[in-house]
Amino acid sequence: MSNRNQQTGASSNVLIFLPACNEDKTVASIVKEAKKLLPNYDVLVIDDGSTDETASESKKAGATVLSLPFNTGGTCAVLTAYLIAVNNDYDFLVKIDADGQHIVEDIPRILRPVLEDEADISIGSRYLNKDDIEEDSPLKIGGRVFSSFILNHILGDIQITDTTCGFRAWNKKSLKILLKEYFNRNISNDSVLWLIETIISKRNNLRMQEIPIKILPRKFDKSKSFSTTKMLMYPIKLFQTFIEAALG
Amino acid sequence: MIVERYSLIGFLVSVIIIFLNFYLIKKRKITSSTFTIWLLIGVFISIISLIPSVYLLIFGIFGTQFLLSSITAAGFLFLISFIFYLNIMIDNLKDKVLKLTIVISASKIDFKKEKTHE
Repeated sequence: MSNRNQQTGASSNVLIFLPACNEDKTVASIVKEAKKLLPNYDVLVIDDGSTDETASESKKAGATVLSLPFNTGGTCAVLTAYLIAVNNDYDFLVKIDADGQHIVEDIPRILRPVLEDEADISIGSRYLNKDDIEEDSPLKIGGRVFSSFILNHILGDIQITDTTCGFRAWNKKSLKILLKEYFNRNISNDSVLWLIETIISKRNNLRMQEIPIKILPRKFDKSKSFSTTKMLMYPIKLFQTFIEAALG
Repeated sequence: MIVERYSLIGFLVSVIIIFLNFYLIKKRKITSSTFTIWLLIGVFISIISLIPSVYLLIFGIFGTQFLLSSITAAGFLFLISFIFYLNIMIDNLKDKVLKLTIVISASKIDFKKEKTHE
């Protein structure tokens, strides 16, 4: 058990975090569900410059809330969570989306490989279980095929089926390595964050393991990750990622 | 003859931009977005420099085919270099602001204290 837990007497050494931007309709129910299902784990909501009631709703639901001073984009919220986990001596960190697309009951499954030291990073995959794959738009399929091609054939046989999934878990070792790497480079665009992280992890010999998960459709609003503009820009972003990766 | 001279200068400038672009991204001084934009600009300048018909067509559109002076060319190149420099500075400052935001924001959360209070 970590020093922090010895000092505080708390049994939890896992931090669950939800980056959230204008998700007041869904964030509270996810926090409550996580608190109920995993009472020993701490829950942190990183409010990325929301203009609605995301912060107050999260607080009411029992989460610790950190409000960033302005909308920084997804990458900053994720890196802030990494730093908080390391600073507060957590052994494991889990990220779940605040829009209700990830299933809270899947958290123990995502955590298992890192808890049992089978992997340093555990990644949810929508495409491992072929029965669960829903019909995607040709643009999404194209982006997925292209990013998988870059990872698996150009950057050196990284067998990752879902390069954009943000339902992940990390151990402390991987967080420290990733933070060091991220602080030594420019903050990457949130649309290619997971792709870059996969490349960095591979370069640092971090063990990655994919876990099949199901993604629920969004109940409210449109997806921020798959806006038409972002989807159209995705091949360009992938090209940029490839250049960065190729340059080392 | 004049076109040939300007073609050579334009091509040299594009090579310098492309080379600097690769050097700066390798040193992580610019973001991948800036890299892509300037790579496209560099390639565009080299194309219009190497293919005189494109070069003359553009001059024709702007009506500058007989007016291109060394002052105009120097001004154009200065403008390109200055925008490139500003782009690098903006990238650096943006990166610093974001990293500072991460560090300051993260320091606000202290779970040890929260647990002790509980």
